[in-house]
Amino acid sequence: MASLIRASVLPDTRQAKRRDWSAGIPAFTAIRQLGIAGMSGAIIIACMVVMAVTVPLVSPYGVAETRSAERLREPEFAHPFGTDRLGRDQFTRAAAAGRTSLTATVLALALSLTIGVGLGLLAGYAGGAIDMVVMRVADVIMALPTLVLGIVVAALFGPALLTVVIATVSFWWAGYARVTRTLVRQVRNEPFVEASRAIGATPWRIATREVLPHIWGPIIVMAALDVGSLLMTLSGLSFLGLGAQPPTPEWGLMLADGRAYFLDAPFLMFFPGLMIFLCVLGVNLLGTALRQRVTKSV
Amino acid sequence: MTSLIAPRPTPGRRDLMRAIGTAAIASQFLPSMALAQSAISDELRIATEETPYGLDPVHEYSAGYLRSIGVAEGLLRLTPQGEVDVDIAAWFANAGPNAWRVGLRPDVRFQSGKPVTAKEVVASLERTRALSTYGANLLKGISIDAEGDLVVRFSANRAIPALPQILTDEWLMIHNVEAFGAKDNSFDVGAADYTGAFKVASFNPRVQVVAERNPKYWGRTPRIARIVLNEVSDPDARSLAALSGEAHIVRSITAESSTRIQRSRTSRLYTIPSTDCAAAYLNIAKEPFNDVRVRQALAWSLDRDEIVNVSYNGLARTAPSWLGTNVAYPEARRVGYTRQDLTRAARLLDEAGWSLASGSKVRTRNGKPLKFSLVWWGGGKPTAELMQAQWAKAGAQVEVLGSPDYGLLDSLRSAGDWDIFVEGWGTDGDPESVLSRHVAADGDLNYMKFNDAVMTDLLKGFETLTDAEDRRVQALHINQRHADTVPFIPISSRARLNAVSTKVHGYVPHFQWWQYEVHSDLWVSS
Repeated sequence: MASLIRASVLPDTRQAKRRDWSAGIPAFTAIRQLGIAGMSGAIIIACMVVMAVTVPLVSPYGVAETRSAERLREPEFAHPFGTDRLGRDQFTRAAAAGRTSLTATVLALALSLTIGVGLGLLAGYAGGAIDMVVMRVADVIMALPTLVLGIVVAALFGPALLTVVIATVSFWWAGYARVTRTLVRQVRNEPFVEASRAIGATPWRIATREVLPHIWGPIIVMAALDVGSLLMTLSGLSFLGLGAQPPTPEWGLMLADGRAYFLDAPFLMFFPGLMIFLCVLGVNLLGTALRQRVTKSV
Repeated sequence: MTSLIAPRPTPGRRDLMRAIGTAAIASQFLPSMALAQSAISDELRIATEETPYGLDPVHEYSAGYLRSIGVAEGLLRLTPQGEVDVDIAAWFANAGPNAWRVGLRPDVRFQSGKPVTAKEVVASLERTRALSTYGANLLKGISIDAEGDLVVRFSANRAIPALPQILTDEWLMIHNVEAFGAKDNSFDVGAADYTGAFKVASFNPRVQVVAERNPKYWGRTPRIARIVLNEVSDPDARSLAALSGEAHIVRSITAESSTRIQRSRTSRLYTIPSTDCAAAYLNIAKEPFNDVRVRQALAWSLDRDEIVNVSYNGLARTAPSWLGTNVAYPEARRVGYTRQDLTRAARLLDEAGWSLASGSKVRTRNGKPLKFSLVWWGGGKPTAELMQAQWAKAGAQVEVLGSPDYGLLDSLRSAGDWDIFVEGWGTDGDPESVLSRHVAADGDLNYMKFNDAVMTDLLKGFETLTDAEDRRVQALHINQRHADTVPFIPISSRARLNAVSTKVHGYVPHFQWWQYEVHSDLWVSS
């Protein structure tokens, strides 16, 4: 009998202890709730961010520093990712490229969310002609081939990282606008919205204080799942020469530069490709875990 | 003369074993292989970074391509050893200090069958002079007259000792004026009537030219029946075309692909020395390049040895001054920007008012940064990036942009929307013609609209000089003036790397890319 009691009590005690350990740190609690896959994703992303921030600061090599005597060195202790055709350290550049690529991705995502959610909120809440106009514009943009649109924007503004961010935002917002609009239409006649309206709240206040907090979850999940695609799109445009320009390191650009050596120095393509792969894997694992979490809570 | 074929890397044990295995298998099929070796393939496929823009010799970026595939010919040509030889002419002779006579072969005919007489040659050269800026430059002040049916007389009111060299130029191709008409007629395949061994059968501008054997050719009938010239602007795709056997001759292999071609069993790598001088052309109409001190500072900031090593795998020579890439002017290697001198560059920039604030990496003047763009094309990206890094050390912020295709550079230049671009032009030939193109106020390659009174006087000096050595010395004076004023910054020569299939026989490398590549004795085994 005693052993039975011990058996049933012990796990509870351990669980309680674990709960106590992380109870005071909400971030740890949230990460633990994501499960193993989500945690792995979060760890990968954290590692990438730490690498992007620290490596260029502590590396003995400059990001754009050329050393022609050390060109095309295979990976070794001094140069873990090898060196490129100008003798630049690929490890330092790959890490610094993380800054460029991740910053561009976050910037593009933030702008797309702001524009898309803003217009979706407006269309869904106002309805009528505004709804029709916004949605038709979104339809047109979504019907356009994204790559072609990107190339057109880059041709108009000249190749630069900011250009590809603008190009990507110019079509990426449409997806958020459609989803937001649908979600707003689902909640706009809910009692809590009616109640706000009844006490004389302005449409802006209702939209931002009542509607938005109720639809935010699915949009965040959608955004988290989009990070990977966004990163791939931005890298793809840079690969085509429309994005970051030399000597700025960027994963897509590094891949493109390594292309000429893919038979003789495959590491020049392997490592930037690996970085993109890990980053996309990390955000996808995290995004999927977030989605499962949101679905479970709903 | 040293071999132009790059040596293969020494075979290792694995290569040896592979060779023995291959030989053992091949021995089973030797009789049939021998038969196949003797068979001549009908088609020669050439991959190049650019194909002609038009079929008319007066159309820009066209003449050399047409000549390189044996479609067109000139009166004279340069041999691979650099000597002037006859092409469709039978002989040429000096007829006094100011005149030359060129005799024609009686049997030469256009591809349409029409005989080529002195009258036709005069009309052809006059048309080129009238419709092409470069043609006008080459033939400036020269009268061309027919003396009977088979002799053409060239005369001027000044000495023209270099006329034979001028007549070897790619632009002076003999064409049927009646067929082409009075205006530029670039896209009518039917009108393209030349004297070459091959006749244009189809033309897709900037994509492909197909030329077929000319049955009425005046010379020896070529062994190849058909030539396909394909534009493959991407350098990697070009080297793959060579490795896969898709193309028999691949022009302008990049230095980074050269090792791969050397290792290949199906292609040979030809490293062809060139007198071309790759240079950074500056838009001197704009700030900061309108200040000669800035131009000199940028020239001193370049480490040309590093550029040659990185961009050309050491297969080119530095150009401290413009004529420094031409072996005919060894003195030019001791003139100009013989080394990288960042201290001198910094002093010149300081004098020009471009100062470097402490902690800053970019020089400024009146709050404006020393910032400009550098445009590359073809396989020039590594060079451009290296120049960007070298100029950054002098305190300049350089934006690098470009494309393997020439179109971007061409459109930026047409719009005047450029700061610096890298391009290479030949320095061989008559020094007066070559130098005038770049630095005469009306020179067709004077992109920068450089206009210098001293330079104009030096160019005029050629008019009274008949002796070859005197003209060479005059060219060196111009080279010195060029180094002082730096309308453009010489960088290095551009060794051409061509990959030629082992199936191609009779390939003759030539320092002028458009010469001799296709000729009657060239053949491809099937």
